[in-house]
Amino acid sequence: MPELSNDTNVHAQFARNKKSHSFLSSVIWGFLAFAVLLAALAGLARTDFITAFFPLRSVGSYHSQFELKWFDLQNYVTEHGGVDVVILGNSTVNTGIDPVIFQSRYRELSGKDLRVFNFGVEGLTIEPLSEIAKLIDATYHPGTIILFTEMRDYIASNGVEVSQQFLGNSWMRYQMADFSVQGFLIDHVTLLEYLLPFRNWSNPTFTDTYRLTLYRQGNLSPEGYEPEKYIGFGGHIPDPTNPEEIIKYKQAANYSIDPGRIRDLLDVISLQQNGTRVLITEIPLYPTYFVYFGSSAVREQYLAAIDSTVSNAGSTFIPSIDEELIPIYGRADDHHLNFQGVPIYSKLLADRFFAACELQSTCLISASEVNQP
Amino acid sequence: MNVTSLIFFAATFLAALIYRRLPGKWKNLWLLSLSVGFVATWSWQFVFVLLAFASVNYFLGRKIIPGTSAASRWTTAGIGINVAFIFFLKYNDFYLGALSKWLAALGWLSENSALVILIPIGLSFLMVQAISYLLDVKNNRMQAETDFIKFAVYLLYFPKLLSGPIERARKFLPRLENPLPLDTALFERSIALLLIGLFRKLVIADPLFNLIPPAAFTAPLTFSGQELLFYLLAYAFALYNDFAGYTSIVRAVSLWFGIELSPNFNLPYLSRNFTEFWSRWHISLSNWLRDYIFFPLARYLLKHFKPSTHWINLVVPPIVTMLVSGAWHGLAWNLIFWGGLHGTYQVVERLFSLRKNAVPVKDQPAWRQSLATMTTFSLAVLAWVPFRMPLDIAFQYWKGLLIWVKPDKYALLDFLDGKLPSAAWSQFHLPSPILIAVLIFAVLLDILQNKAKRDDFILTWPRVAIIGFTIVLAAAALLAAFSDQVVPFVYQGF
Repeated sequence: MPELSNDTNVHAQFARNKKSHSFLSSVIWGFLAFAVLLAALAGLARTDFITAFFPLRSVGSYHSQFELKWFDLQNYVTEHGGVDVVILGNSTVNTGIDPVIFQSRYRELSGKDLRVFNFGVEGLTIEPLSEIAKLIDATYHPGTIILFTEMRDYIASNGVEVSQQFLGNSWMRYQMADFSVQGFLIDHVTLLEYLLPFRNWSNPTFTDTYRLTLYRQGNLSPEGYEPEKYIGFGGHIPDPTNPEEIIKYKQAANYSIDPGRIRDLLDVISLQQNGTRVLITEIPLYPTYFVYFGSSAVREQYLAAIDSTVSNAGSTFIPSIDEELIPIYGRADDHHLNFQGVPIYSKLLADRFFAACELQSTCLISASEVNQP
Repeated sequence: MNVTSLIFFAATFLAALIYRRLPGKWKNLWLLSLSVGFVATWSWQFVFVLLAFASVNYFLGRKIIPGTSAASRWTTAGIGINVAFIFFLKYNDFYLGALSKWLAALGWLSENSALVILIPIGLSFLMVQAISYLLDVKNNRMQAETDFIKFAVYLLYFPKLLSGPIERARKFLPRLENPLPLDTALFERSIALLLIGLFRKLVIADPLFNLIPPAAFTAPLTFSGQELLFYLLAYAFALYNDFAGYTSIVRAVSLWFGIELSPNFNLPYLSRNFTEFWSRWHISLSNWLRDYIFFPLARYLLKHFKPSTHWINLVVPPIVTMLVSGAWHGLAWNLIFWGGLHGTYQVVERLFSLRKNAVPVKDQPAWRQSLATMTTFSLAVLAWVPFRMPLDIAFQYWKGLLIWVKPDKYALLDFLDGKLPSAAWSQFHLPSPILIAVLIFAVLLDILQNKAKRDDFILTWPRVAIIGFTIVLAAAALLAAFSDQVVPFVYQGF
């Protein structure tokens, strides 16, 4: 068994050990080898070959679905030479709109071939979405941003924690002009994007999360649409005595529009100053969904408030299509559509936007139309 | 300032170079300035509290004149002041709530606010060092230090301030007089200790802590026995590597100043009995407890209860010593119980050693030594349960260890085949493969240290092994720099 000496000159006894190599030089060699390894990987990161070893990418955000969308959009732009229309919203958009069907229907009606990407990200309210809109606009200069909002977006207490975590990410802060070395490195060192998915390798759920993210990446279409496979929704009548629904009632009680959230909406609309067209709309939620918010008057007041806010800011609010047009088998629950409802809705959405184009001169515009001198 | 941060290493190295250039009389002042600066990076208020603490003990030390009747009074007062100091600051939850209410009732504090006391860093470590100093002066083992700067450095020396090692003034102060020369051997040893410390912290301790689901220690009965077993092993190795890693790092940076700090760990999980365990686990605290609690108490009892095998002599000193150890870690029933459990282990061992044909463990055959190691390890690991969680949960945890659940073999095969993408590994009641891999790493590291029989064991490795070790460490450090999961040193909280 080993014995450690308490002798203060303990180093002297170790000094007598003769070695065939210098320990310090070996350590330096170790760090050099690590640097060379990183350099080799950095070179590999600039080729497609890297995805065989590192299929996921990350900017260090806790929101893996945002990251999937962000890099999917990057790939989309690389492949198509740009993006014309970016559809922004939460999970209802993520699983609710197929850009391919939308694009095809819109082309049929207008003759205009637009490159459309679905940037719906689960759990995000208008607060983080406004930052994402600015980021997308600054990075990819789309012609049009369609922002889907809903009543919950404007509840001050809704999604606060998610927003804080999402916006607290150092890369995101760096994009928002809040400099940090970490944010700078993530933004400028491509290799880090491939290594960061492993940063939480010691989280107890890491393997599950990694597998699930890979699976979701596989399910995501190149245009950013993620099909929801659940079928069997048979309608829903909100029940204030159901413990699982009490939280929804609580959240929607005494509904009022938070001015801070309105500022976020106006921030998105202000992107029109760059030439980007910004249109605001809603997903067709299941009709009973609004019961949580109280009387229909609350809903009407909300619509009127949003419509006037958007109009006053120089944009257009395009109300949702009639909810009844989506058959019940096309819904996964009272606010998400499933893969059977999406083709129907994507076409109807294209119809709605074409009609708006005809009647209100709020046509979807391409990136090249914005960027023309 | 975090002692695993690059800025800490860079600043400390630079400070050590300056220290080496300074004339002798300025060296201690420089060390004290660095220590004060280090404390200020945590909180500037702590500087005043800790300097006041050092001043009081300096004054008390000067007042103690060995052999006089006043010496005992001053020593008792000193011990009382130090204990009261820690009670006042660290265990403020005993009185702060009531005091807040009382002040609010008098209108001196608003209704919704409460008094808050910032707890200075390293408080428990400072207290035992101060007490040992006063006792050593009183017992004429050393003379009271007349140089305040030097004395303050003894208490506040920044590498050992947060979590030790707990040094004795009579050994530490002479090292300040004669710092070791910074030659290649010393520097190599410091780098080896530094790398080993960082490896223990970043590659083993932090991942193991993270890999334990928090619910395992709050609702253990929701996990299978096999999961709880691995989480407990993970905790045992995480705690050990966290503290051993910390000690290794601070000993390394202290060597840059030529000041050797005492070792705190010596492969404790290879101990063959609990007496040996406590001479290998948190050595500096164990030695303190031995010298200032166990020996004086044993000597006192021996005078009153003869023969030496009287049950009081066998039972009381280890139980009391370990109860004090538990209380030192925190005034909570679970920690007292943990101390009591270790005391009981030692009592049982002492009783066994009284058998007529008892053979010292080192003279026993190898298989019996291995069996003794395994038994000691298992009992030590089981004792970590009440160390980590409140007693009611601890009992649930022990119970849960016995309830093993058979995983669904067919679902597991489907899962491994990728057919259940949204399934979670935890539903198969098996520990994470990553956790098992890190545990293997932890055991391997101790085996290698045991083989080399020295704490800076990587110095003896071949070049390719050192390069591999450095690469793994650098990769772990890179990922840790971007990780969302930062784990503070556990003993920093004591």
